[in-house]
Amino acid sequence: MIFFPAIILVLFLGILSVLLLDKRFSRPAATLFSAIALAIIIIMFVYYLSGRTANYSETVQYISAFGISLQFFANGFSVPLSLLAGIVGLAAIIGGNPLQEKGKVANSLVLLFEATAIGLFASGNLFLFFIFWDIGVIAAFFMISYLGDGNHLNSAKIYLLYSLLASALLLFGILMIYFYTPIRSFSISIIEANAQMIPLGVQEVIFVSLLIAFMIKMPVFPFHSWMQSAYSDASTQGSMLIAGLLSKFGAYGILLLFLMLPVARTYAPYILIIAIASAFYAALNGIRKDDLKRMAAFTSMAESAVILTGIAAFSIFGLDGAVYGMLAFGLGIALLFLSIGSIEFMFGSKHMSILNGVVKEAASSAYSFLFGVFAATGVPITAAFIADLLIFIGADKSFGVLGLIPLFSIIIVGAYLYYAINKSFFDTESSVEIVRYETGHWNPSYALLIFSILALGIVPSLILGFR
Amino acid sequence: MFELIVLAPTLIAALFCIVVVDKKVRLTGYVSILASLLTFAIAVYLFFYMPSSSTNISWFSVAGHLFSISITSDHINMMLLMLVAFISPLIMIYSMGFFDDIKEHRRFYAEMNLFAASMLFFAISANFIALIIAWEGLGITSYLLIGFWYHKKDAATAARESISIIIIGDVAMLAALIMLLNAYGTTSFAYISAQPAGYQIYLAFALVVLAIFTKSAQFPFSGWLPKAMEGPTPVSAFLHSSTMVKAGVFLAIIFMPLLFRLGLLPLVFVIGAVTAAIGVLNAMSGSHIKRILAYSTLEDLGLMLVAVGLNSVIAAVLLFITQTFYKALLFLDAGSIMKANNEESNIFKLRESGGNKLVFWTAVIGVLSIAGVFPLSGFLGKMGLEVSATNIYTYIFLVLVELGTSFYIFRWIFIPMRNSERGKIAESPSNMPASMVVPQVVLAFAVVAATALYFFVPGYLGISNVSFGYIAPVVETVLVITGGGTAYYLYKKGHKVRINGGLFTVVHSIDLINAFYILLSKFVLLVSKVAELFDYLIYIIFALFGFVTVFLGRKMRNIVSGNLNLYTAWIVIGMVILIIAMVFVL
Amino acid sequence: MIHSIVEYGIPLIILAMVTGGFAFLRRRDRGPMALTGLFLIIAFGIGLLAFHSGYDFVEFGILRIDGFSSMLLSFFAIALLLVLMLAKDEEEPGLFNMLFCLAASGVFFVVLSYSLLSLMMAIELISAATALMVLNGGKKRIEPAVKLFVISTVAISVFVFAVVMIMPYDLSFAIAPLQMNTGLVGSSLIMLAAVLFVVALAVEAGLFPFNIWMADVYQGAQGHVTALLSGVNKKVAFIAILYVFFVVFAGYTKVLSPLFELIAILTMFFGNLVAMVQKDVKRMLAYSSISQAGYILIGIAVGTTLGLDASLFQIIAHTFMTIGAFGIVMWLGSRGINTVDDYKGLFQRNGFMGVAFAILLLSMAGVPPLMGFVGKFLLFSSAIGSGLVALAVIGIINSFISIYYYGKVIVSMADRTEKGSLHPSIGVIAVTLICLLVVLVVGLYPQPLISILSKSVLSVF
Repeated sequence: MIFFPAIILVLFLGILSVLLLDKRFSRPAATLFSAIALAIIIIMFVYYLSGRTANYSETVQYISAFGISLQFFANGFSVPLSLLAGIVGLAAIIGGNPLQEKGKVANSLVLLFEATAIGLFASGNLFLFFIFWDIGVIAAFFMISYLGDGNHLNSAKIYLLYSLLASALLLFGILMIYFYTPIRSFSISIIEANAQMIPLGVQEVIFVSLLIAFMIKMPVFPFHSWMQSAYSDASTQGSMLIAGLLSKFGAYGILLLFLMLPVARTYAPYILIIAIASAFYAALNGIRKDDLKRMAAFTSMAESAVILTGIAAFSIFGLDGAVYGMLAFGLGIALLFLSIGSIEFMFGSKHMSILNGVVKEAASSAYSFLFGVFAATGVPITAAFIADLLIFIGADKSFGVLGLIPLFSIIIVGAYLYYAINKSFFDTESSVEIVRYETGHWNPSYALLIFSILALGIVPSLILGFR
Repeated sequence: MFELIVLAPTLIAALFCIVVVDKKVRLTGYVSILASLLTFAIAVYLFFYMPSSSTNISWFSVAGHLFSISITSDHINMMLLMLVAFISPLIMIYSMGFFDDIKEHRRFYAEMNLFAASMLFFAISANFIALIIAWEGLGITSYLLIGFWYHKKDAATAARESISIIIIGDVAMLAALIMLLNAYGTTSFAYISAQPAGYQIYLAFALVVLAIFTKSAQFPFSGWLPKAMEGPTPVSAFLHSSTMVKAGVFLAIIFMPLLFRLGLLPLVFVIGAVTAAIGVLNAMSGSHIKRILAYSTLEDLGLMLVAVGLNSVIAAVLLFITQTFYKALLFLDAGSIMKANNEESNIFKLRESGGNKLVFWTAVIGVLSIAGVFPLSGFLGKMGLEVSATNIYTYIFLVLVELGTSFYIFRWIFIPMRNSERGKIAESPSNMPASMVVPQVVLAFAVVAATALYFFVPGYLGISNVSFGYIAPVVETVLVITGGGTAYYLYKKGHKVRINGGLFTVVHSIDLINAFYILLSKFVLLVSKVAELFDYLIYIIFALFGFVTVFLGRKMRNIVSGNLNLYTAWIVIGMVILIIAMVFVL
Repeated sequence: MIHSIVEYGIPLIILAMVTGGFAFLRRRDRGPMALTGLFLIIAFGIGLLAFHSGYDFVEFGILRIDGFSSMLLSFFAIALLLVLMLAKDEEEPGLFNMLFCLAASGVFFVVLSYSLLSLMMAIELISAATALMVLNGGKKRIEPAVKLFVISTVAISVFVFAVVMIMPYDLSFAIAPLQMNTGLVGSSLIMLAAVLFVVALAVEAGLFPFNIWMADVYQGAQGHVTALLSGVNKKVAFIAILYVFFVVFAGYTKVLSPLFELIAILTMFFGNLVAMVQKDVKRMLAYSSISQAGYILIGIAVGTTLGLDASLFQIIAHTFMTIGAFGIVMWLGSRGINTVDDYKGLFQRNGFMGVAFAILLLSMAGVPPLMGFVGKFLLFSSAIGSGLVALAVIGIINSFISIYYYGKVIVSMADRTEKGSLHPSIGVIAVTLICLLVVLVVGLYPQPLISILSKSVLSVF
């Protein structure tokens, strides 16, 4: 029952130990605490799979005037998503920062991010949701501004502006929900039960406000302009976490939005249209990118559009598919960014036009990237296949054939990803030289991510067994 | 359920190849050969002793709906299984001798084994879920194998082009699966085949047909197959002639009754015919020894789909079976000839067989078979097709195609023969390892023996047989002689013929198809450029907001001028304004 | 017993401070300041005592001891103590100490006042003392000092005028609800008086358009004086506003609310927009203070108990944030680091101070789980809860705008630089640490403070 607080506590202990211990112990300490957290998550997973509840409610009030206390819910969403956070976090810590530049700060930020993500996914009331959201925004901001490279300061500024606009809208929406629901509460379950009593006009205002906030985060066209620079200029760990976790904040938010507000479901067809536009827009932009990280960023955006389709479909298939998608695509994109990061480290460039024949010297990175591409395009036995399958079954059920249109964006995504692979990775006719010979600990991270993607692709009941 | 055992040897072999230590890499070949022989044994058992049935294996369930994998041991599936299991060991043995560099074995055999497993799984699939797993597996392994030689830039390009086209089919297949699942609650082949025509199923199967076209390199998706020849010869022999590319055709055969009901057969017919024509025409002008065979494969596939389009199961099946043998044989021969000539692939520059008579004669057998000489099995395939022609135009078309076939295939062998006569020798021949020759001999025997299948296949599959009469064989023989003679005249004897203008374009029409793709990709790039500009525009709009705010800030800053008098003045102004406001409130 | 301690202790402390200040005027060492510090701590203790004992009585006709004022007594004692710690390096400790004591006693008077007259005089005392403090320290300080002095004088004059105007209705000048002379119905004279009160107090509280003097004065004064101005003087004015408008004009809150709304909106925008174009960090913080005053005013405009709780919370929060921030700015200013560009690489140069500054800035921006966020959350909630949705939206928009300039500084700090590391004095470190701790701890666990505030608000309003 005390799983979630325990996990978050462990991660905070990890942060403390990283900050207080000597630089040499940063990564081992961080790895240790993150692994412990993952172990607890898995235990909670098993515990919850067997049908017992794992909700946690604290009696100490944060602000009693509003009835806000520490509440964590364990349900079919929060537990799998915590798993996502745990795996991506651990993988990022082990392999994401080979030279341990600014080791203490980097490792503590990753742990902080992981804790924030788990807290957000598990939060039982909107106030906690907002708090974790904002902490996540700031943590990511520092990952870009302090730990990033390239044009990082500018990218960080743009990112911050967009994100805080999203936060402002989010706060506004949350407060409106609180005050206009007759039974005033921030608790998500109570809101779900009572939100239909909010007057329709107000519901629409709340819906638009929250929708835009989440669309900025995922990101979804047309609020995505912050994405390519931010994803590209962040550090490897930063990109993994931002693409793998932060964007899922937005997805999870829209999921909650659909669960809470009845008016949202009436607008589902419009959401579908937005998703279609976003998916193709992202795919088409991905073609033009020479920078591998930007290419991966647009791939992530296209995947987010697919997840959005699933949520808009709203049936059991759609929602299960969406959660599966968050997991599958989150893990996959983390893998992609990790391998790109390792290649940038070894060869000194992340541009397709410069890289050639990477597989000759960096085979494991090349194959991991290939696997990541499989995961992105939904090859069976990867988790993404199950996700695509479920999402589009739901979409077809709810929207008819139109719901299947976003699926076809995969063709374009696959086309440019394979182009990238065959141009830069598998063509050794004139291969680039390794610039740095130090090796990072990428292989364990690759193994962890690949194993998870395969496990979820071959045994879907691990996640779907909740319902 | 038991049928799944057939996958075990290849999967274990693949795993072995991945994890084996570098010192023992040599073992990968032997293990793979062993696995393929074991598979063959199991396939034989299944073929003869397994009753026709299907089983469901549940995978996972969502909202009460159970997703399961269906496999079957129906006779037609067993037939495909046998074919694959038969070819597979031959290819594995051949590969042992083909690769000079032992280090390449590991990756090669791992990928080949995975491919074989996918193909075997495809053979026993009985619902769309199983199908799509196998289908994408085929696509991925094909991609990996085409691009196998990393040091060849063309191989990398060819691999990517192949998967870019196949992925269209993959996505279409998934969409079809979803539509069918939602319409019928199941994806079982048997159930769906029995359904009446309707809007949903029409759309779904239009997509399935699209997937078939991409996988089987039909027009307009033919571009990738000739390029796929950049892969090693065993790959060309296994995937791109006898098994993978025919997966689509197999699917078409299984669903023939439904396609007929849906009225999709005319489409299949037309596309198949166009593809066959393209194949024949381009084969006539090719100069790359394997590419000619690739165009020939296009023709084979096209003809198979023509057979399907004519709603003739027996013709399609006969062609399907016989093509496997002679095509695999021809490719293996091509590989041997190339190896004997130091990897030279231009037929104008190489010597046939390089002194190894077995290679030469097996090649000749292959050529005769594809040309349709009785009593080789190729004859059987052609006959079946001709007899199924329903109207005179189809018949004429088929006659022309076969004329062209015998022409180009004799050309294929005559030119190298002439080279050696005229002393155009590329290099001195190298030693041909037995492991390469033996499979060719086995296939040659198979090509001859398969004619007997005429008597067994219909019964096994439960379809009616077709008789050829007397006219058809005679016509066929005439065609063979005509084509062969022309080729002889032109190439063996060395008379030159000039072709130009339209005819030239036609026999090089494959370039047109490629041009179409280049145009298509240019178009997509253009659209994406528009998208990118649009992106920038959005960015500017947001930047504008920021600009306005900063501008306002600057303007307001000027209020704070440093002038004390002004400050106090503001206080007074503020007071006055507030008083006025107060008056209004009251 | 406790009652007597409280009853006599407070006036005694104030007296002691004032006399002590004068007595040690000439001393050159830090001794007097330490003594003052001691007195402040005692005051803090007495305030706590009074709060917990739940007293409510009036002393000498001019002092009122109740939950609200005793809580504020303790609070301001802490705030003043922090400012004092910042002033450790003051060049003329004796003089400074005297002025400081005068100002401090003025603060206590305001907080505890029961009479409008004593309120008025206390404010005047504070202004005078502060103006002289600004003057202290060199020729450059003359201009800001003069500005402050003149502006304060104008403000006080208006205040006097306003007090005079309500004479017919409240001869006792007590801070108690106006006795309504039913004959003069809703009289315009009362309204005029209200407006004048707003003007007068708005000057000191920093509300638009009466706050234009602030940037010059804040920037021109020495660091610790600025901290005093922003952290104490401004808040004192707000307390005065609370007293005047929620006690004296208690019946008129509904009418005055739109007025406050308007001022709040204008103040927020003015502060945030001009802050965006500032290059000097001290000046930027000055404008940020202005915008914070706007936020606080939202709670006052709302007028409900929740709104007042929120305003008080934000007042307390901002005091700590601003004293901490100006302390750091002061320290850096003494090293010649003034503009945003100068702040480059601060994280590298002194990790702790850099991070502390960043956290304080983030708190001002309203980022959870810091105290500033809780304050803003309460403010916006109270606004929406009372139906003033537009006000809340504008508040949120402004919060968003403010991110830009706070972010600019933080990003600059995150940059890499070649310069060497910096070391602050003990005083600065101590103050920073305390403020940081308060911001973090109360941000994570605000309920205790909120309940204290509710209790105290209820005791008066």
